[in-house]
Amino acid sequence: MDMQALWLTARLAFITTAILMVIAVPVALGLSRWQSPGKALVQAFIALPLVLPPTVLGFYLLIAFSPNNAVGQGWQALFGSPLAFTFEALVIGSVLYSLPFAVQPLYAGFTQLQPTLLETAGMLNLSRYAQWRYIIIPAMAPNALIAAGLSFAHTIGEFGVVLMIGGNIPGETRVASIALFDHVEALDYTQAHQLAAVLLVISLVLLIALYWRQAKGGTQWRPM
Amino acid sequence: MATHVSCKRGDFSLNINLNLSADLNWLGIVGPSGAGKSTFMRCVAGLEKTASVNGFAEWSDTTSKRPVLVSAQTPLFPALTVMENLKLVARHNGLVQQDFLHIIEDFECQSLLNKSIGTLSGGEIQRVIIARAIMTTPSLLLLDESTSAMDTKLRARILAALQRYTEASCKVLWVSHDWRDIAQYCDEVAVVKQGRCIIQDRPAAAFAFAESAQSVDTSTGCILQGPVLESEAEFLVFAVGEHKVVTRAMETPAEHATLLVDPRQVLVARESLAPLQVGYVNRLPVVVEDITSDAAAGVQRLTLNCEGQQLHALLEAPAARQFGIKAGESVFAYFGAGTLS
Repeated sequence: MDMQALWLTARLAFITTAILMVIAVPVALGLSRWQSPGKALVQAFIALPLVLPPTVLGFYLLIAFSPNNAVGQGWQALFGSPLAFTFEALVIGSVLYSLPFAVQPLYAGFTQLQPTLLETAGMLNLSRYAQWRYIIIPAMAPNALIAAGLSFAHTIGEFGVVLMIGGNIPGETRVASIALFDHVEALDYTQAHQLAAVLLVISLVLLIALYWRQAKGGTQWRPM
Repeated sequence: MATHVSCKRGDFSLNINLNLSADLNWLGIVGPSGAGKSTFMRCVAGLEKTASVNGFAEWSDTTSKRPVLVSAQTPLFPALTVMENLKLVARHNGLVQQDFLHIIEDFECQSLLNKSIGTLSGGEIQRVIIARAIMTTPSLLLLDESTSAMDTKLRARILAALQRYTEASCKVLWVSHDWRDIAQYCDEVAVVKQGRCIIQDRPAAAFAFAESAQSVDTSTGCILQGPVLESEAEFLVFAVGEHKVVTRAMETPAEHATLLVDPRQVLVARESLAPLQVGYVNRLPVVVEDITSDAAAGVQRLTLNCEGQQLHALLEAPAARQFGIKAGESVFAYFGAGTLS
């Protein structure tokens, strides 16, 4: 059993989800309050990974991360090591790749949040903190759960981006989906079966949990 | 003190001027649906960003304290129970525990405290949002149909409590379709139509004007108002000039009494048909000021005047022809003392 690859995948999914939640909340909040023709452009960019072949995103990232380009050079100047073919590169790629899955449910939640609730809270002299603590966060919790769950599941399922920017280094960038591909290429079907089954079960359980939560009265998640 | 509120929303423009004197405490606002009453209230509450609102600071202390609106658009916070909703607001407004408990008791929220918001009825929600607004100790309270889902007796108790809490230092603007309530509790009434205030006056005069301008639902009639002379358990007598009128007793005792008169239930006769009062039927000597015919409805509408107060009567057209009554004539108007709720 390829425990190393599975562990790496889990670590990648956790870190990506954590970063995404930090990024996606302000992005979704900003988008929900922003009225401008430029909004469509920004929304389209965020949603791109939904429709773009992952290899396209991977290709551009590979170019960007290369030490010959600004991003790669900047990284090297800051951290003293190249960015391409590292775990950090995978995290950056995964964050971009799963961004729409985190932003969309949160954006839907913020737009459905009744403006009268916050208006009333302000009128009754509630502090900003109290508004978040007692109104916004309780209302947004189901959406945040969906955003986190989908980001996590989607990161586990990514292949194309990792293939392009990962470089298949065991313990560093060789995630489960890549390991599975290697096993099949090497005609090691026993290992491939095991890994595929584990990925299938994990993804299925995650989605069942999300749908079950949704059926219990959580917020509906609508794709863009 | 002249106040001015203006706001534009699409092709609807609001432009309301009011004259708010220092001794005016409760101002009622009436008018047909879509007249801009609710928009006006949102403007005064500071919730319409594009509105221009001037002059309220001189009437009530709105510079140090925001006006507080109570309407269907000021929801309770759904994630919290009734108790948590009230506590949160009390805490953020520095309300002491004793006042907190008094407000809960006076606005009859004790039995609701542990309920979640979703299980409350319309009248219960209204009680809680009024209590919550009072907990901010506002200097200007804006009530927009805030008691519409309560039954008559409960409404009277809640309004009486509101009167007590606003007595000392809080002014009230009150939008309601129930103009009997407005007449009873408000010092003055403003009638709003198509985003303008067409009259602001004492309730009786304002309603009489609005009635003739057809700005309030004409089937609601008009009101008589006067100082209370005698009161009994269920009925009381008040004066219209030197004449006496019987009306049903109000839930809260006051110096002035009002009687709502439905124009379809006013009888007009040349002779005095009965003694001054027969049971709870009133007889008033009136002068016919004006007669208009509504051919479509088949009725004649008489405008009657008694000691400066207006009254309307509707007569079936054939009866009116036979009767042959003319403007300027002195006749008697007969009408009931109002029904018990």
